[in-house]
Amino acid sequence: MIEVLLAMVVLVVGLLGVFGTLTGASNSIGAAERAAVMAQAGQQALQAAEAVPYADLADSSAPVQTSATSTTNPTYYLSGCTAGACTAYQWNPSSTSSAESLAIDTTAGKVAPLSTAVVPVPSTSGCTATATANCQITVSVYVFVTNSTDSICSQSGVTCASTTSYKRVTVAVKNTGSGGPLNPTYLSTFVSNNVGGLTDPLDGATSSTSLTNCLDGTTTVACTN
Amino acid sequence: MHKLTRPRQLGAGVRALRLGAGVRRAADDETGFIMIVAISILTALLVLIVAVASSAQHVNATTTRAEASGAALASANAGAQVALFRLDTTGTLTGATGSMGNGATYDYAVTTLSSSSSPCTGLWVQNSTQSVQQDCITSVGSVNGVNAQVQARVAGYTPTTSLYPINGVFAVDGFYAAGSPTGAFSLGSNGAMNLTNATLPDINGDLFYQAGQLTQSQNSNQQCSSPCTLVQDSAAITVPSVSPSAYASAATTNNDGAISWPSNLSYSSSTNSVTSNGSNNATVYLPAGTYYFCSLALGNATTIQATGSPVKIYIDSSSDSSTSCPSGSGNLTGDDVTVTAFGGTASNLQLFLYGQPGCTGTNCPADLPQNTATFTADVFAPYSYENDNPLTVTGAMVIGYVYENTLNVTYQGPAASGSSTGGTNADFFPAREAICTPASTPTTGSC
Repeated sequence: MIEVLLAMVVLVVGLLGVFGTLTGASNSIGAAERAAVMAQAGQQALQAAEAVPYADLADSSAPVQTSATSTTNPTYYLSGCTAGACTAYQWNPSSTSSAESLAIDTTAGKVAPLSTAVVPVPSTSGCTATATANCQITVSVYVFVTNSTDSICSQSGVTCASTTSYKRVTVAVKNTGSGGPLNPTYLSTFVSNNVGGLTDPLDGATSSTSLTNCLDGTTTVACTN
Repeated sequence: MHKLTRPRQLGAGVRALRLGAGVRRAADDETGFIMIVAISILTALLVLIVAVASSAQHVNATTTRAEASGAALASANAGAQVALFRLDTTGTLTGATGSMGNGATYDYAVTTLSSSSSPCTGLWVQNSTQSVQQDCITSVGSVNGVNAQVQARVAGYTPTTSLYPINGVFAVDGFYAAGSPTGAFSLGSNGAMNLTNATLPDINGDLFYQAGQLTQSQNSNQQCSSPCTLVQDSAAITVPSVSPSAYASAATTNNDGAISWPSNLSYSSSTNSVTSNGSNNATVYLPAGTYYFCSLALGNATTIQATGSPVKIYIDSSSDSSTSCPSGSGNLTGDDVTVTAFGGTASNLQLFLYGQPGCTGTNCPADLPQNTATFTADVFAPYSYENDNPLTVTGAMVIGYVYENTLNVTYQGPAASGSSTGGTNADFFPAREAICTPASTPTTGSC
């Protein structure tokens, strides 16, 4: 009898462990799934920003700070905020001196500073960016475009044509649903004003007989090959 | 019998007793059996737990890695952009590292490509009229130990010193303007700039002047103000020059014979001169090539239209000791003359006037049309005097002296014969970009 009781206790403890592990694994996999969605949403937002013509590469409205206390909120690193709307962004969380002026153009700017990405619960409808009740995953996508000055511009003898060497695009994706990840996912790159024109040798180089063409081995071909 | 049966009966009892003992022993042997089963089940569950946990951990690790991989690629692209900017700005080929925040870093290297066999992504770029130089940028982005690598072949025209030191009009000896000089251009001179009667805010560009040489209207509304910007030069602007040998070469080898002259214009190959019979509205078409004249006396409303690129027109003068141009030659005359480059791109047509080297100001010969001239071309006439009304230039101009009541200039961009600034750094543009096999440091060579 004692043996049976002991065996039952052992089994119950074991099953509790199994249950706990399965629950933990489920949560972990759920968080990983959300992290994957965050990464994908971030990459999509970054690629969309990179595709915008340089002149239009700006936030279409001033980003709004929604938290000045939580470092897991990407807007925590905004500064120069008046009535919520901000003028600068600290791209390096560990360095307060890294704040750069935001590129905001309410007329030509093509980058929305905040958007929402969702993943619906399977076999359900009604999950949208504005109605997230039936959504399995909901994330907020922040895109901050800032004016960046290259460090060489401060070197002696170097003259830079503009105070903005290139634009920095920082994408922060935060899970706004339940569960992890608690920290946002960040992606950041630069976009320069390399638009070609008269001084671009590749401008108009569309055939092998163009003034500019390309050499593939010993064969002259269009540079579009 | 009894002796025979008793033992069997006794034996049965003994066997029964022995069986009972065996059962008890068997029962005694199953002690712990339940525990063994329980532990076995637990062991199986443990294996299951380990498998599930391992799987979950693997999923997590894969997701983390994928996440870092995307960020690393973005950092690698950022490094390539930084390299391109520095290459354009300073021409430096030195590699560098940088941080993008949140643990993301980049590390790039730049190599010069010397021939079509130099390894880099993309194909060797070549141009039939201008020298092209190419570099290879390789950049690695890293996030939490995850790397990504990109490579870009960048190409740019090899820079030459521009003949046009000002992105617009450079009047060497001086400038007089009235009315409202208009357009997106800059204006500069080493001599007096008399702009007393001009309204300058319509100039979207810089006014380069020497100390004490600028005179503006007393009316503040007419003075240079945004977008017009005053820039006092610390030294005289170096006057560019074209070698006389360029004129001599054009005199020897040119495409004058390819021109189909309209009926109201006559060309003399012996004097390299063109004269008009007085009729108007002629159009002269110039295929791509080099042309040489001593004078072009065109009828009114004549249009010179380039049908190819590049077109170079040299107008020599009697001041050139190496030529046989007659005295008084060296000019382009006619009212309402239009000169248009192929495709409307000024640098496709270059007009050179020899003029009278050594002349100053209004003592220079008036070599260009005096009544309505429209140039979509780059005009180089540093020893000529321009007194036209109105003068419209789309392109760049170097002229000895300008006296204008109506001036409209649109600077298109880099003028012919060099970069816009006359600088020494090529302006590079991406020719081909590729994502390479990840590496911890830039792998120069083929991607």
